[in-house]
Amino acid sequence: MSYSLDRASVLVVEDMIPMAMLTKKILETFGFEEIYIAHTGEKAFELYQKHAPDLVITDWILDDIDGLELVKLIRRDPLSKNSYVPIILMTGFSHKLRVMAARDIGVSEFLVKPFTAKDLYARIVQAVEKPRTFVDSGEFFGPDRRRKRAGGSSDAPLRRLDDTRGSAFKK
Amino acid sequence: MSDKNTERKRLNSLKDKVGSGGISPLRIERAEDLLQKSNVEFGAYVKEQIINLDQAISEVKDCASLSTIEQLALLTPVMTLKAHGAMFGYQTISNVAQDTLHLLEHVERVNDDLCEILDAFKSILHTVVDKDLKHDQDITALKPLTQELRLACERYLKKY
Repeated sequence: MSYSLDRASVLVVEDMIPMAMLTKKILETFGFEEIYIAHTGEKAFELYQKHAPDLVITDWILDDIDGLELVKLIRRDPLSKNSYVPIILMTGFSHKLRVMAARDIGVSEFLVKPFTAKDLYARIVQAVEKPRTFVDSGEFFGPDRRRKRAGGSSDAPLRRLDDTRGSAFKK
Repeated sequence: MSDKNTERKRLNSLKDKVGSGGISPLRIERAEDLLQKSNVEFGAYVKEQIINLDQAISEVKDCASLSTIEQLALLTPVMTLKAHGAMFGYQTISNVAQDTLHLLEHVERVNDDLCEILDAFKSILHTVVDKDLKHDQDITALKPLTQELRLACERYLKKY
């Protein structure tokens, strides 16, 4: 048995048209059928609101609003269709400080370009099988920036909103 | 958005929809083949990025220090070439752009020494696209030039 990717939708945001087409072909080969393509951040958010895809794969540098601004919109805009959608950021940047800055915006996974089909597959598996818990600290809303330790515990006390036993810490 | 340091229940529809089992190795192999065979008119794109780089250099040449925006303008065309070169079969472009990007991430200003290195970088790019050098033997032929560029980047970082 394998993933039923034909049941999920994905939005690809890439301003380099041949790269967008190549990414689409790879995703189709994986088994995705419902793929939306946007070449600008503005169009991407429009498509996002219209179709509410299950996965977003966006480039960082775009002509109008860039990938990070798009992530901010998806995560924080009150009208956003789903603030929790997994977002994979594609980028040629791999400098630690830039990666940290993107992580602080609410990106779920990074995919450094150039990438192989296996690399993209690995990020999709990560998004499906090991989605990060979302954290809302007032200043930050997005996937937990710390990787969970084995056994599921994090580095600091956190309270689940669905935890009926009450807060794990005093405000 | 709400209380401090609260962990929120996910609304991740992906797992519910796709189920389990991963993607078959055959599909991944086919996708890798697709990448290997990807073909695009890359020369014009490279030349466009060289123009963008030249413009960014001319705007900051001899400035005492680079602002974040100026540095990003300098980095973006190089990062773009690093990102897309190998995606379309031009591994050498990604390799030399990677070395140059690493250098540019650490520079504080654009001086004559840096311009010389960037000229060497552009010269390699022109050679690759003018001769359409995509294959392994082409990469080997360019090795002395690409190695020299890498060493020049290392020398620059040591010096400044």
